[in-house]
Amino acid sequence: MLHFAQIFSYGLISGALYGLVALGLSLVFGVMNYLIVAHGALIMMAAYITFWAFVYLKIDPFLFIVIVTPAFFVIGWILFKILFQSLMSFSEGEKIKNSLLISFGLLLVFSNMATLFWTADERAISTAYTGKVFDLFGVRLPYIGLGGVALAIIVIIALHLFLTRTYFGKAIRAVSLDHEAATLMGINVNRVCLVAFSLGFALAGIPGILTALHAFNPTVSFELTNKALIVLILAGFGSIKGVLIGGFLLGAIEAVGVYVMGTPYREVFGLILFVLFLMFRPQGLAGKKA
Amino acid sequence: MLEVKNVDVSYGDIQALWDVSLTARDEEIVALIGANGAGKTTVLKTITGVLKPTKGSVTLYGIRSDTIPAHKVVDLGVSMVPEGRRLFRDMTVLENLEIGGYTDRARGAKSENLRWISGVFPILEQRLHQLAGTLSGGEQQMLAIARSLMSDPKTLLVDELSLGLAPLIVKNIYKTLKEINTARKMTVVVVEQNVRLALEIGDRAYILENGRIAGEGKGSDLLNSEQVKKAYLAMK
Amino acid sequence: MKRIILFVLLFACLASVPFFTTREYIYSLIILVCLYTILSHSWNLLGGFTGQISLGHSTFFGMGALVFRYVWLKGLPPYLALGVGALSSLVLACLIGFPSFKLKGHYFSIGTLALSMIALITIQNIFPGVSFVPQEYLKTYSLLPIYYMAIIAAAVTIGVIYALTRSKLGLALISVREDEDAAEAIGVNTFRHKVISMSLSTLIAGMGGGVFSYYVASYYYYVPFNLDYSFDPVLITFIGGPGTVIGPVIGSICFVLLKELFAISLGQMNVLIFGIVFILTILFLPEGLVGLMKKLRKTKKVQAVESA
Repeated sequence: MLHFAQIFSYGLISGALYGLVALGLSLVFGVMNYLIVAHGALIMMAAYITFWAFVYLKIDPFLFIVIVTPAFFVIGWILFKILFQSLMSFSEGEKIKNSLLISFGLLLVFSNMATLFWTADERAISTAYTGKVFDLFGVRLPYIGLGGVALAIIVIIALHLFLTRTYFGKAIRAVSLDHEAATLMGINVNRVCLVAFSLGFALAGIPGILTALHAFNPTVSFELTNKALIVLILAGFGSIKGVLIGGFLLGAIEAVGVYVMGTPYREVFGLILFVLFLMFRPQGLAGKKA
Repeated sequence: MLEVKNVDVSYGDIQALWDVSLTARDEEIVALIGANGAGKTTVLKTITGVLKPTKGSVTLYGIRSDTIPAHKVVDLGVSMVPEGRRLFRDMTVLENLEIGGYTDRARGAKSENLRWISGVFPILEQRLHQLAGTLSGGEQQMLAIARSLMSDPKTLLVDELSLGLAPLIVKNIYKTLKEINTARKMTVVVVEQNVRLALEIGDRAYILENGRIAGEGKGSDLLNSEQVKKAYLAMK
Repeated sequence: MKRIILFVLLFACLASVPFFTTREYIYSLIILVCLYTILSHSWNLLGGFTGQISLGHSTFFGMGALVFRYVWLKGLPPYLALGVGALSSLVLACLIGFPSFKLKGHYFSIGTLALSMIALITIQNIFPGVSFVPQEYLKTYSLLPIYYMAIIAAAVTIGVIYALTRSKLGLALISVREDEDAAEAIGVNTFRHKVISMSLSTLIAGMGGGVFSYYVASYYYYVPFNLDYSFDPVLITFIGGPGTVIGPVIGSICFVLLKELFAISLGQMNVLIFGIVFILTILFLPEGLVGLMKKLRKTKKVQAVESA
């Protein structure tokens, strides 16, 4: 029983991370129908930058968020203008397909660049609090894991407030619902998409620093993209609220998988759930068809 | 004053409007009638800048609207209630109204405008925190109009408001529009499939056929004209 | 007609290469080009012609390799084993692939990606070791039969694709790619055609896997299931020219040559470069290198006419 509780806790902690991982991808797709599968690679890059900042500048990863997030916002801004802005005038299907392909290229470029610069060796940041755990009735909860959960909750709340309490946030929601109606209201849809896209990139920075605290290497690009896509399908494309729930669901299913079949098959359970959702409930839990 | 001068509009390679001209003077109610597919919505979309003409011009209160980005047209004082309402269904009534008042000018006057709207459509005040998608058809249409009014426009364009609504509700909404037209001195341009209704409410009207203006005149005159009677009112 | 003659000539040249040189390095290069041609064309059939962008073709490539290895080491002659390997991929596709056709567009893409990851992880766990060839075989090991199998398989693949472009089936597939709803409206049974396309595609992918297995003496069982074999054909086909016969061939040649050029460097420099070119292709050259050549030929013709 305790053993299960332990595995389940790890699952929930992973779930928080998965939710964070999928957030940027979900936002961008919801607002402008761009499927940026390079998201995992962005997180990987953020992890490396965080890692080197820690190694050379001794900056604590959790503090480094304030640098990574705006930096990635700017990178997203630039990449949107160079690569993705031209797709804005396409039809929905073409937007999805072309953004998928271009970001697929980016995924490969970034992961190979990382391997080239930094080799495929595993890295991990080791801080003062790395090994420490909090003991809750016999269940060991690592500090880093708890930090990740806290971070996820803070980010989701902040995003929620932004989207519901500010004019620009509401504009983002309006654009994700109806581009033309939003234009009629005086909203500059192109500008909103640019900001949302950059925000999506910025949202890669946060799971990036969490990734750096665990063992990672360039292949994590594919694993994280995969997790993001799974959570996206579970939650329902374009639903921000569903993302955290989807993340936890994935974490829980993986925990069950580990409990039932052992660690090597952890991924498979999640993937099978993914395929099942794809076939029978592609609109995810939130119920909106993509 | 709203002036459309000799515009040609195309959807890609397919031309939809040929040499269309119309004007709406201050405080007028102008009706645009015609069969399905005649191009009425296209005209409105061209006025709001969503579509750009390949020939001709659109001038709103002295400023060319066909050469500026579509989202800037609201600043010129023209707001459109789109066909099918196009509400933000997953946002609340209040949020829809707030988005209606998105422009800087409108934000400053938000509370005033909300108060005014509540007077015009009291039912909306009761439903402020409901999701727009859960409203009834008539309420949705009212919300769509209210949303466009939040920018305190000088000209309101209304596209096919009667679609899918019960006749009594439609009558009431048109009555409200007439009141706003008088009280706020707001120009109104209505696109309406129900010809009788359109000609009754419009001071002047234009007939659009296959992308071309086929007739123009005072509402009452057209109502009695042979052309309109035969083509649109199914009278011999 | 001219093209068929050229093709036969080319095949004859390739077939006679062993008479001019015994350098195994040359055989290897050509084998690799053939391998990537087969894999890329299998993808091209589904992605370039039918518009279903699969991101998980390594599943079928790996399956073909797995089964080929098994039956070949059990004593089946190589070409028969190749057929069995190809068929096994088809069977796998029947089990898991066809239901995936309920999925449209990007759902299909990420669904196939998930599939390939499931396959990879499963193989990594069920067959964690290395697949070796028996000692006696190693004693008489020669690249020659592998070389011939590779060029024959590649020739067959190109032949099939070429026949497709001249058939009604090919036109139907293209109509599905261009606009599924419109295709349905004019009477094309899109589901049936997607199934046919996928069947052929996985057959060819499985055949490619068999060639891989015949070529690489020993490897970890999971290697042909590696995601690289899902991604490389996508890059190659789009850069070469999707929906064409020559495109994937040109792409494969460039890919293998680049690989050789950067063989010494860390990581996969050729994939990096191909990735960048791929992005540029999507943005600026949707018809790939084949499209570029067509454009150049057109401008040359125009220049010729203008100066006449």
